[in-house]
Amino acid sequence: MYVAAPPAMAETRRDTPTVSLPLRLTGAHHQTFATTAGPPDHDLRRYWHDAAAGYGRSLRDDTLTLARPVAFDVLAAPLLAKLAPGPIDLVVLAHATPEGEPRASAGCVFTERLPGVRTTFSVTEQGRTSAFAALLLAGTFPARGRVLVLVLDQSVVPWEVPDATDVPAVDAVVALLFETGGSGVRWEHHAGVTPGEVVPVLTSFAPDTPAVLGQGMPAGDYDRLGVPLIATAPGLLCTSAWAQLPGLMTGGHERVLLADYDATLRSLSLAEIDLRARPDE
Amino acid sequence: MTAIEAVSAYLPPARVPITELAAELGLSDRQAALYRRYYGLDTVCLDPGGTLTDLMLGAAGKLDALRGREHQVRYVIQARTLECPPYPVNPVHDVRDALGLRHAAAFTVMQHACASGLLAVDLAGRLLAAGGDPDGLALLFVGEKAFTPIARQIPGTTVMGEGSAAVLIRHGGTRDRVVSYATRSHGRFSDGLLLTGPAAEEFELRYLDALAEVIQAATSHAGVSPSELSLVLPHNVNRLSWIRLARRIGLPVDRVLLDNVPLTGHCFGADPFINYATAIELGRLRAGDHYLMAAVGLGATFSAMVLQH
Repeated sequence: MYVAAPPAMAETRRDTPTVSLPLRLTGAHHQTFATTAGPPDHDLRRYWHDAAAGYGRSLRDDTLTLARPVAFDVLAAPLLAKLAPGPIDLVVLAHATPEGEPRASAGCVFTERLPGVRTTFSVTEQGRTSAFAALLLAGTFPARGRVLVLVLDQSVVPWEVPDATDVPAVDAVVALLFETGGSGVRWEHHAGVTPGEVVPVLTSFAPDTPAVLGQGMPAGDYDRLGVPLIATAPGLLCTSAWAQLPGLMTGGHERVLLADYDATLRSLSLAEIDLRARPDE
Repeated sequence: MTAIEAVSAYLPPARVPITELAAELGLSDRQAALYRRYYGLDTVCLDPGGTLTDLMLGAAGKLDALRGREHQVRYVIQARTLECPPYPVNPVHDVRDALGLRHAAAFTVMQHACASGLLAVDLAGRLLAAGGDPDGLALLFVGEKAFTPIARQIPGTTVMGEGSAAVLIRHGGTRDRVVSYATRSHGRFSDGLLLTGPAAEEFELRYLDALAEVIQAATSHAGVSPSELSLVLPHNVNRLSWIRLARRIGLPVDRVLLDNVPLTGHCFGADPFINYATAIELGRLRAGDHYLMAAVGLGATFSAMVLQH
């Protein structure tokens, strides 16, 4: 059970968008999957039909006869087995595309499957930058010990999506395991940013680390940053930048900047991750 | 300390008797009568042509405390039970933009189902406190559409209605201060709306104990006993379960605000906040009163929050 009193106000007012989060990354895993779930049952099809119809949209029957969206707990299960053993205090899910089994609670599943979980919740509707929002909440929550952030790209959307690049090409999950304490994440979020403003905002962040630019980042002169740029593979959405972390953790880097942008929402998020915490696996 | 600065509640104007929905809900005449006589459920508000965005804007339009303070809003948060808007439709951003709050970060929190609203109050308070800005505000939306048969009732328990609340949250101030919050998720009931058989029976058996547990935890953490609560603002699933719960925790049932159960049914996560607005209208809260908001989300999460008016 999570029981808490409200927090005290920070002693100093934060006058910049930069937030130092008390999280130290100790483990990162990434995996992509071929969608294997069969067609939805009648009630689930009705659920999605009615959800779409409320906004004047129709179901994609062609897609649903081949595959159905996969539930988040099913997607994440293979990565849970890779986590270093031990209690996890908080689990935060981040996603943009919908949960495959909306009638159940994937988050609550983790309170049974993982030891020590006091609570769990998900963050969504921040598009490609949803994982960054999850990190902010994970770092603001009064967690004790370890925190797990699961970033989920579910690739089957039951209705037409105007821009196909808003749908991941494959199912993908990134599991990020943090120890609380310290200041291992330097974080910023900028709302209302036009594509032309992205490079200047990044420049003002003054990165001195390699930068991973997510697939949502608009075209721009990123060489102006003067730091090594790490490319991301096409086809991923929320997981795009974060999928690079497992490799970077063993690549000798001390810190790395992750950045992604959602052009529809005009949201730009940045997170500089300290990779020097001792990996726990 | 996290505080609720203002709450506005919105109910669609069309009020539909449950008896008129019986066929659609698959209720026999006997079941519909049982809902009315024993559960205290009578009507629900529905807006069949409206969207979730409309519901949210309905509540925001009544939130007078927001006017002129839009620049102070740092976060716009929707706390939701169901995956309802078809991605990439994004009501929380649509509403943020419509209210002139483009500078604010916007996102939705889920997984506590109908208890997500209390979670969001806690999270919003933490975000504001971390920012260290005494003028900072968070705008929270709760309530959603009963858009499909499985979202229109919890069989044998309640009928869902449409309604919403907009909640302005700040750090500090003299209004309704959050004193404590307790929440517990029971993952063995994670099948939620799909829960059947022995697991469903166990959930029914454990429901009162689990809800009493978080209420006891929240009141204990707040330094008050349940009997010292001036008012409980419940989720409106039905009258009977609250009568039983009140007995269980030693609280006179007239201190549970059940006035809206026959009028609105269960409006997802909005119930405690709609009930807050009603409590204010009825003069049920006096300065200094400790009161409690409670909610249960299928999946299953039990939550309670003690506040001081």
